[in-house]
Amino acid sequence: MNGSPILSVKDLSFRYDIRTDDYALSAVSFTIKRGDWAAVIGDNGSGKSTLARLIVGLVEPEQGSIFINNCILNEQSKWDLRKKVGIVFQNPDNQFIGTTVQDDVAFGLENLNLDYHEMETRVFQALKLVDMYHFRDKDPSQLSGGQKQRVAIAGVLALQPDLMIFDEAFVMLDPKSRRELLKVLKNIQKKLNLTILSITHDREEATLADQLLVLSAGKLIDQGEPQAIFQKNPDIEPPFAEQLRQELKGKGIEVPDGYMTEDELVAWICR
Amino acid sequence: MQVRFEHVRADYQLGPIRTANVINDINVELPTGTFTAIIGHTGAGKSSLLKLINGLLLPTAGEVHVGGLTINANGEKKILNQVRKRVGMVFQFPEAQLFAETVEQDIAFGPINFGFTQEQTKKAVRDSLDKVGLSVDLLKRSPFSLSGGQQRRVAIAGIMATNPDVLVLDEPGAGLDPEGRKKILSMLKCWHNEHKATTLLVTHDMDDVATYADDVLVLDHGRVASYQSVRQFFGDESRLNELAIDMPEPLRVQRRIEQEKGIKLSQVSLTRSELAANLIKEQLV
Repeated sequence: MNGSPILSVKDLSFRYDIRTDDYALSAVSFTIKRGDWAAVIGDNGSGKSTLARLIVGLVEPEQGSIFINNCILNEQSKWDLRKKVGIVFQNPDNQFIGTTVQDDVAFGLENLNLDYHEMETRVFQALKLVDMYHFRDKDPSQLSGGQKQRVAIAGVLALQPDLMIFDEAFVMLDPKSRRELLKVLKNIQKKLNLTILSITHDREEATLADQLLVLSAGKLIDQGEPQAIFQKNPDIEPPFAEQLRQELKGKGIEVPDGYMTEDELVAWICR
Repeated sequence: MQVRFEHVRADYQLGPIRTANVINDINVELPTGTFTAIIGHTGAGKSSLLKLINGLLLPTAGEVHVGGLTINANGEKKILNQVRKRVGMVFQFPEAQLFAETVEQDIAFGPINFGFTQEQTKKAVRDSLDKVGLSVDLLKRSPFSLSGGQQRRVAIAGIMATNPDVLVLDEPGAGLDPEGRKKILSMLKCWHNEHKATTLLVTHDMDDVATYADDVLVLDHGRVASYQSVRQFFGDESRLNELAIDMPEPLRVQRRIEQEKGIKLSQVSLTRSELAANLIKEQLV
């Protein structure tokens, strides 16, 4: 199944107010293959979150179409397709329902009519993955921001969707736990062949992706492997190592030309 | 205005059940005019510590002193009111607390409630709007028609308009793009310097700590694990490991180079330009 498109977006345009010419998205097209990790980057107001809301059918496109698993997303199909797509929002307070952590994670599964044992296994598994298993009996509203975010992520992991969307879902975590959680996700993504679309400002998270989509003022201005993107677009803030290379160059030091990853730069300095 | 914690303990009570002490015997004094970063892992008690400063959470034991005012377990209304006029609190995602019909009304809400005259309020609204870098054209707009980054600025302007002596910030940059984040934090730092305020910043980003703060206070399970200057704190490698605290990016890269090359640079690099300068000085590039 690898290589077949799980999400394809064709010529997508959207305005929040059709009386103005303010397009939140205009003529955006791209494809994400099964098992891929794609990251969408762009400044505030570039249309990233709008894209996520369109893909899960929370708002309807003005023009263009979205295919999930080769099936077009519309009023009739959206209920079925939503079972295949899971989304984690930026602020986890916006999506808590259960009175305990485990109830909250189980909520999505209850809607799928799963049998009790299967549900229990999946809930516990998901909570262990995000390291919140010991908190399973706690009230979600009593948790800290970062803990809440982990629970929200577990809720989506338990659903085992074909496509997972993270809309700035890691901003409340400290860098260390973020890095650890991303590593865990990268592992389960490979193991379960999950497809991930992450919307992010974090350069480290972006460099983890197989492909980057760059949005600017509602337009898809570039798409490709992270390295190539950072090299081609000097106005996108690159990862730290590349910034350092540019700074050294600016100070008249002879550094190698072209984009360098941290490994390459450290190896060059320690040569 | 000085902020001092004296043997403070606090927890959250939910019906008859008490959680274990979220804040467990905190004893610390933040001098007037300092900019302190509060760090620690999720659930270490950072947000709870902030809430104690303006009485949103009352100590179960001990006292919190804000200037000459004392908050204790009784939580006297009169004192809390006075404290809240002196302490400006910017919560996580402050744009969630916007409510008024226009930007002007929203920013004016604090000053009016604190008894500013009409003239004073008007001036405070305009000044703070200018401070956060928004144009006066927005005054008559609905705050909900603005972008996320602009909404956050309006919410922060509302706090600044009350002219607090203590500024308490809970992740003010979360969810903004790197550019917007830098702008908000530099703006807050400028305000801090101009007003000689005492500022507390909760953040997870060690680069923000290195760039903006003078001192670092590390919380661990509701206790103060460390309180020292930023440079001293990040210079102590073994302590950082012990507390499982990240390094700022420049320092992390410095340590990596040091390890692979088997040397030690004489200075700790907290920013990118410091690292570049140190590498040049030690003739590594």
